[in-house]
Formats: sequence, C-alpha cells, structure tokens
Amino acid sequence: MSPRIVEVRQAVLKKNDLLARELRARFAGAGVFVTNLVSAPGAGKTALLERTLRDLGRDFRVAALVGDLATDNDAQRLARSGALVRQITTGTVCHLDAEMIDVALREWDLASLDFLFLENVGNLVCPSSYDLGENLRVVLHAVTEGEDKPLKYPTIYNSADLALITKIDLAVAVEFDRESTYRNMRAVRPDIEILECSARSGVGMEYWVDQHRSRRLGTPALGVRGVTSDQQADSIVQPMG
Amino acid sequence: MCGDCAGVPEAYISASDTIVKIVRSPIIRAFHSAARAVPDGLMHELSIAVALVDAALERASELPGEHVRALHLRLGPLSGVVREALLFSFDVAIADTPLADATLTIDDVPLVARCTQCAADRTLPSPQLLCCPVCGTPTPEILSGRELELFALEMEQDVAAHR
Repeated sequence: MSPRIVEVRQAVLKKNDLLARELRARFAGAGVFVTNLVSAPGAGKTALLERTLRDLGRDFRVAALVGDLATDNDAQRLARSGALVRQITTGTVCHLDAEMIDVALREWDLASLDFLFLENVGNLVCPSSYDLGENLRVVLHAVTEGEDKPLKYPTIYNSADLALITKIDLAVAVEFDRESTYRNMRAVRPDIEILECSARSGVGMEYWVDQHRSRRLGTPALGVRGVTSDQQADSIVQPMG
Repeated sequence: MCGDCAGVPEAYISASDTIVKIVRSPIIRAFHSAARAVPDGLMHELSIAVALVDAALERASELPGEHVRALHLRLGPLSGVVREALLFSFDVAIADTPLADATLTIDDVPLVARCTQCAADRTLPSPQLLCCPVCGTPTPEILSGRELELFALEMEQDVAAHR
C-alpha cells in the first residue's frame, strides 16, 4: 500500500495561539492592559518592574506574573511594592506559555486589575514563539549588551512592539553605541518603537509609565513618540545638562 | 539535565500565594522526560518538537488503520527555530511514541516582505535586514517567513500483521 499525503496546515503552536487569543479576549473584557517583558538574563526586567509597579501603582491596580526557572527571588522582591505578584516556576522550560498564564491567573479577579505585567524567563530565543495574549511585547536591551544583539536574535526583536533600552544611566561609562543599536533594532524591525530609561536613576520612567496609561486607553501618549532622534535621546541621558 | 521533574507537584501554589509551580500539562511532562537527553542550547527546539509530535499524534488519531511515516514542516527564517536543532530534538521527542519510526522533512519558507515604494513583494536574503533589496526602503510588512507549520502528514496503511 503506497503512502498518502494528508494536508494538515496547522501552526505547531496552535494550542498556545488559541489559548492566547482566548486570554486576550478575557483581558479586553476585564479592561486590563497586559505587557509581556522579554530580554536576556540581567537586562533589568525585575528592576524595571519594581519601579513600574510602584509608579503605576499609585493610581492604578497593578499585578505581575514572574517567570523564573527555579527561584522565587524576583517575586519576593516585587511583592514588596505592594502589588499582587505571583511567581511561575517553569523548571527547565525556557519560556512562559499561554497555559502557564492561564493557570497562574485562575484565582485572580481580572476585573479588579488595570495593568498586568508578565515577566518572561530571561532568554532571547524561546519567548519569541509564544503568544501570551499580551497587548504589548517589550524587549529590554541594556546598554551593557552588545549593539549587535538585534542582529544575533532578530526573531525576538522582530516580534516586539517596543524596544526599551535600560540602564541608560550607565551609557557613558560603557560607551554605549546608540546609533548602531538603533540602526540594528530598526534593521530587524523597521517600525519598532524605541525608548530609553533607567529604573535606578528614574530617567525615562515617567514616559514609560505614561505610555502604559495612554496605551491602556487606546490613545497615543502625550509628548514625543518615543525617543527617536539623537537630540531627544541626549536630553534624556543628560536630563540635568 | 532535568533535575526538576522528580517529585515536583503537578501544580503547586504556596501558602504565601506568590508561587505557582507549573509542570502539569502533558506537553510539559513530555518535555521534562525528553529534556534529560538534550543539551541546554536545544531546549527551545525540544519544546517545539514536543508540540509538533503532539499535533501530529492528534491528527493521526483521526485516521484509524494508518500510521505516520513522515511529517512535513514549513519553517520560516523568522520562526526563531533552528533547523538542525529541531531535527535533533525531533528524534528525542518521538522516542517511545507511536511516531518513533517517523521522519521529519523540513521545507524552508522564504522571507517575503511588501515594499511599499516599489509596490512589489520582495524576497529578502536575511532577517537581519528588513529592507527592499532593490530600492532599500524598510519593509516592516512581512508576508511570509514566520511559519512554523505542520504542513502535512505522510500516512501509510497499517500492515495486518501489526494489529
């Protein structure tokens, strides 16, 4: 008996995609804006989140799900902000998927939230493939990372709506090559929005938080759209200058 | 490799309600058992391979009296999946499943973007530079290249002696 070809034409991650779509509808119904933070380990996701939860938490109800391979250090650290925080321990799994989010949210009343942050596992490969139902995917890129990271990991940068350059207070010390970094980010995702901030010094945080407020309302943020020109970028790096 | 599998509760929520431990879905469980045989750098492709096997088995279960001889996958350069790593992981993922004798064929999907300047669809040589190879205009609109798709199954009738 000769073999026959049965057409399937199905995304390998279809189950994840379907659940993510369902989550997205649930988030929209509850009026909660969801941000997925992805980056390499050590780019500053937790520090950013700590400050973001605190700043946004003054006027809004905020929560976070934090993915980590093994420890709950990040969740403990974030819980001090007073926000609702839960850790998802993934074991050896290198990313968060929609099912993990679904399970972790089970006892939470989404309608009681305005913002939900998903801190993905520190990894520039795996999280790009998994839709979590988020409204905004942000790739963090610390100034201490090489400017060629976007070229090495084009998929994750391409899948992000916004690139957030973190630890900008260290830009001068590490001779951060802004021009090449921006150029490489735009090479792999021409329409990516790029912001700069430092969770430690607070530079750029107000705009980042404002972005969230306005995106949740579905309106463009006040002020400039990102820090796109060198002039604006410089004014952020040296706010006192 | 995977020291986390043994003795881990299927879904655990700590008393402080901050920790959710998730190793519960069949896919994750299959992943954990396969993870022992795979180097760290291939973890991503392994989880993809496990999902691929799961999808193929589900479809094959609707076709009684036949078994899967080969899987045909379409893979784009912006899928984030490395071909060789996936082929390796596939062999690990099919072990001890009804697909154990199946082969994986990967068809590369070209990266095609829309150039608004030329008003034409252009095949791009690399995901590292999303711009029109003819006029240089940035091409954010990707038409193909993100595929990670189980395209087809090659099915064969079971031999009577196997029943």
